[in-house]
Amino acid sequence: MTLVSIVKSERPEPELVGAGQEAHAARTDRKLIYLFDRDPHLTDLSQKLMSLGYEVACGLGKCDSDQFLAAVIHEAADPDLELTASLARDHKVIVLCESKSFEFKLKAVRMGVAALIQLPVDLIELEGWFSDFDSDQQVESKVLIVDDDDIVAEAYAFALQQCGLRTETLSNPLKTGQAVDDFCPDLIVMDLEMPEANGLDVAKALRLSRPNLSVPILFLSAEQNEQIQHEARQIGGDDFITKPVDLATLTDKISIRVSRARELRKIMERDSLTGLLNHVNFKERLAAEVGRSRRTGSPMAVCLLDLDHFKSVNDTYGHQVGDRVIQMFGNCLSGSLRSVDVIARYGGEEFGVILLDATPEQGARVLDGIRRNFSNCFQDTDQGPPTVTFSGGVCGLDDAATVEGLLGAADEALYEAKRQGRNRIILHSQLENP
Amino acid sequence: MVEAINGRIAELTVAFTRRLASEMDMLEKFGRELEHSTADTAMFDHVSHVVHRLAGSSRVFGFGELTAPAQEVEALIASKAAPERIAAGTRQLAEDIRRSICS
Repeated sequence: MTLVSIVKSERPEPELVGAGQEAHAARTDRKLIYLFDRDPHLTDLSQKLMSLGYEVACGLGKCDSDQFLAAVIHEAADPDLELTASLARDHKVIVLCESKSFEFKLKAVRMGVAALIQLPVDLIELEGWFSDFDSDQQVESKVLIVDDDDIVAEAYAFALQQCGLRTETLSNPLKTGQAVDDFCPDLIVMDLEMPEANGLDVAKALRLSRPNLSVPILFLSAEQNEQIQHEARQIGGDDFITKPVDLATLTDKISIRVSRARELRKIMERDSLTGLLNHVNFKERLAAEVGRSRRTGSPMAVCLLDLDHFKSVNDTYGHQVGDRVIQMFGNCLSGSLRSVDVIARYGGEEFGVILLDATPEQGARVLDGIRRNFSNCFQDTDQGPPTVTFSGGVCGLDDAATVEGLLGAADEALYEAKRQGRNRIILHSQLENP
Repeated sequence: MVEAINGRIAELTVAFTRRLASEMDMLEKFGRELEHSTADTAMFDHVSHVVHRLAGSSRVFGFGELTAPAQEVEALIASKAAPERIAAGTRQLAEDIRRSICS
């Protein structure tokens, strides 16, 4: 049995501003994957994963770290799923298998397997699971509690925190708008009767803002009047929980709601092919991040990337391969960049990236590292592996005053990269007449 | 970890119980004022808010037995019942609170 550990530690990362301990800690979101195999083709898989930004190391039958993102086990290396069961108690386990009978699936479920992937391994599918596990780990669900009763609000918050949710409480409903902008909750729990403002009116005021239309609001009140409860649902309250309610019931309902809300938002905000943010939401995120960076004084790099000669990939290999190239590029970006960075499919074969706390120069270096590795990601097709490269344009906050200006500056730099022969990253500040 | 959780729950329960005691005093005062016809509109509004809050939150801190009497006083005030009926309900609620705190 071969144990190959894939350590996502040497991904090209921006040198964060500030050389202290804090900056170092922010950088080390290390993602470790253990691969147990008996199949020589998995060596090739390891190399492909290296191209996606992972480091690959080999070992024998031991896990030298207890903190890893996932274990990937070939069924031949663990026919009775004993190793799988022992690892699945505390970790995500993916089993690579030839057979996918329903009986085998049931056995896998009983052993705690998180995913089954049929051999030969589809790298896009595998990386998709890694991304899901990573986002489960990285992003806490956020709940904003608006209740004038501060003791009760604290009790709700405390109970929700025990379920792994991040909370913020607000006793003055007049500050709800600002709190929603700053905290960006996945769900709002709102009391109905508050001295400063009625919960229904607060909800209506929130819904006047387009980005808040999709934030679920759960009313929580001792209100017995069914007409008022009906009105609360009508104006966009997603549910009405009647007090008194015990904490266990409340946390259960809220946890389920938050989880569904996040899934739904993922579908609404994300591009269906790559799972990355879509064009509209990328621009909204960019506007928010520009505002934040200007307030805090921290730098950021705005990047537009475009696959080179993509039309010829489609013409030579067909649209199916073309779609897989786009998926692979998305996986390569999400695998190689930090969880805090923003990645989007800007349109067609064009991608947008926001690197937070990174100067344009640092951003350009990071993207150049990804560019060098990218062409090694591809698996063979009938016509051999497609050779694909990409070009990129990068700018920073000093290059333009507005969101549209920044996108324009990145686009000008991208155009220059194409003009100079493609397969390169160009900074807007390097342009002769920017 | 368990100690920290228990500690936080205890802190919040103490804060709630302390507030309950002051609400009990306020309800008794309100009952007396009703008997002497000196309760004003602001006082009615305040009591209405307090009993509404009590009806909704007492169960969270293990005082579920206060939900029904608090709802009763809330309904009496909302329906503009006779002052003596509201006074009787208020006194009963204050007594229930006293018993719950002491038990």
